[in-house]
Amino acid sequence: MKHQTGRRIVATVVAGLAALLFVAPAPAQELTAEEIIERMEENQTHSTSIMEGRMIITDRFGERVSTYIAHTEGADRFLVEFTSRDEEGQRILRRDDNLYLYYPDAREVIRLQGSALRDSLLGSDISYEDMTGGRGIIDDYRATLIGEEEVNGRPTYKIRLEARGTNVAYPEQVYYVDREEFVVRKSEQFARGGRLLKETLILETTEQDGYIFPTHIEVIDVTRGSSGTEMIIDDVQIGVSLPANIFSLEELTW
Amino acid sequence: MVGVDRSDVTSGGPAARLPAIVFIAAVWLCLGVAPLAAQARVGGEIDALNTLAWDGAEEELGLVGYGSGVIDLRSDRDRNVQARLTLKAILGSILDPLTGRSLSASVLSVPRASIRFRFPVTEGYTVRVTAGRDRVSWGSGRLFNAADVIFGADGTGAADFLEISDDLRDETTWLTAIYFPLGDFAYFEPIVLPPLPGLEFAAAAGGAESVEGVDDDEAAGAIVAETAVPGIDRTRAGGRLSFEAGRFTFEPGYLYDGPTERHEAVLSVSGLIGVDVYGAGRISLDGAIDPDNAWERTTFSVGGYNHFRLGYDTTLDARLEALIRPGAEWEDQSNPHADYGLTFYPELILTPSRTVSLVLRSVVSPIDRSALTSAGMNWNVFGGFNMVAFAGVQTGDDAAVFSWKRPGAATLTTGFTYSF
Repeated sequence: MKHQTGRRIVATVVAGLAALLFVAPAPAQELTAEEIIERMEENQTHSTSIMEGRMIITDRFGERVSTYIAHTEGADRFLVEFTSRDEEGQRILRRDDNLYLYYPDAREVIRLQGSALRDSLLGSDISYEDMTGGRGIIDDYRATLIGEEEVNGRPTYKIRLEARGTNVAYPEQVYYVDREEFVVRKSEQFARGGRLLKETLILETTEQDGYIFPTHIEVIDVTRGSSGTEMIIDDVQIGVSLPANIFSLEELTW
Repeated sequence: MVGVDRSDVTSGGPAARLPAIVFIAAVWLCLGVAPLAAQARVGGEIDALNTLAWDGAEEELGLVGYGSGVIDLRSDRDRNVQARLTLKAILGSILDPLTGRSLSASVLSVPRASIRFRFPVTEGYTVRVTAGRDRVSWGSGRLFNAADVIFGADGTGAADFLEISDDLRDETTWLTAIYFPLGDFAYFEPIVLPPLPGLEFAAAAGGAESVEGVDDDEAAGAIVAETAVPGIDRTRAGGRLSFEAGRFTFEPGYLYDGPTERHEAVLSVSGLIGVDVYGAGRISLDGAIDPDNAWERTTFSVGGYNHFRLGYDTTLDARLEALIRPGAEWEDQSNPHADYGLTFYPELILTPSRTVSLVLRSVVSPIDRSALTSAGMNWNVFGGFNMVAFAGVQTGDDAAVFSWKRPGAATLTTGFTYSF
């Protein structure tokens, strides 16, 4: 798993959970770090959505843009279809804890299990495992509330996450979670020894139907100044009616 | 080393085929693309490669070029009907990866021409039909797949060994298949694969000789002058069932192969046992086979795969496949064309960064102690643009399946690919 921070954020964006449809709750009082993280994760659940977005991977040679359309239902079902030329027609289906890939040229379905889940999605900072949501952040990290801080003018909880084991990409992370909206405003990923590797910034959020969710996320590779990944949601419809059986193998292979 | 889809290579030299290709392409571009562009999604791909090849038999060094272009047309997204047409042109000299010989070819082919549609049977139940030339994948396996009764268990001859992340095999065929969903995660799919008619081609532009097409080969660069209809006994037909049980996916299937009059029964299983594993078995029977010797008509393939993370930005994919044919030869035959009972395919893919992939792979024939090994890299420099470099070498004695004393015993291929 490459990018634990973006785990919830990115899973939502790319997988169609996009961006986490956060219900704006009343400000919390005296919450523990675990409760803040759990509340943040709980807010990712919503009824249905259809969204179109872009993932922009940047390095010193320029940008690679992947576009997608995602259908989602609740926290455990989504179907993402990539529409950009390089990966046109590739689809990812999540149904509960099962993840399937479809390659249209090969007409082949691959059920992702085990180590294959740790592979990167289109060379980005997102792993397939990030999209399964099978394990929560608290399963992999011990959380400690270490203070409060303003990020882009928003008050946030500052939470340190220390890995419980070695099967994670980053031994330590710091999350900045909005005190009012329970959305991550920023996160930092550290190597063993404390060197900063990556930063994730929420550049834009939007409100729709009572939900507040990020629409522009930037992941900066601090070790390579010119590298990074941006995720942008161009259009989202919430609470829409989805075609019957859309989260099925038949739809995956259509 | 340049992998060759042999179905694309037909008789007729470049001089004979090229005028026809140019003519047809020009007509197609003028009449086809312009009006279609507004209704279809158009994609293209160009491969420009050069291969330096060592001929171990003649002890000579050669250089061949390989160019190909693909135009891919897909219908607009629709929930009920889809269509896809792919045209592929191969220009220049092609190096056969097995023999190392340079084949002159300038061919326009049609790897895909298919329609898919959904047909509502009842209010809540829809079946899906695929008709035309398309890909169909039975079973699992990157190079070896015993469940692949349609294109063959051993993909060595058809594989494109310059691929790293994409499939090595991309054969297509003329088919009609109907997909019957059995719940959300199971289906039954009957399939009919009639042969294409024997086609006699006449040149579309002057100077080309006639070409005799056979069965499933698509020969182009010419127009049809006469057709011959194959007997119905040359049809292949069958079906497969796919379902899940726990962490495993099962796929039993059956195909009657008209040309050989054989009944092919297969079972493919894939799942997770610590690492990702997959395997398949096939039994091939006809009326002349003594059931006691049925074991000799079986084929098995097994494979395992694991993905390792080496640091936060480096990964290693390891795969090992084996193809086992109990009825084939199990002792060294000192024959380069021998059909041996055991072949391995190990593959390692190291991805040190998000844009660079390094591969080391080999087709190993342990019985005659020979191997075809290649190592290469793919650098995705810009979106859609890749630089590739591959080196391949055959090792084995003169009479082995792979041999240093063979044309193309060592190759070095470099070049560029761009999809747009």
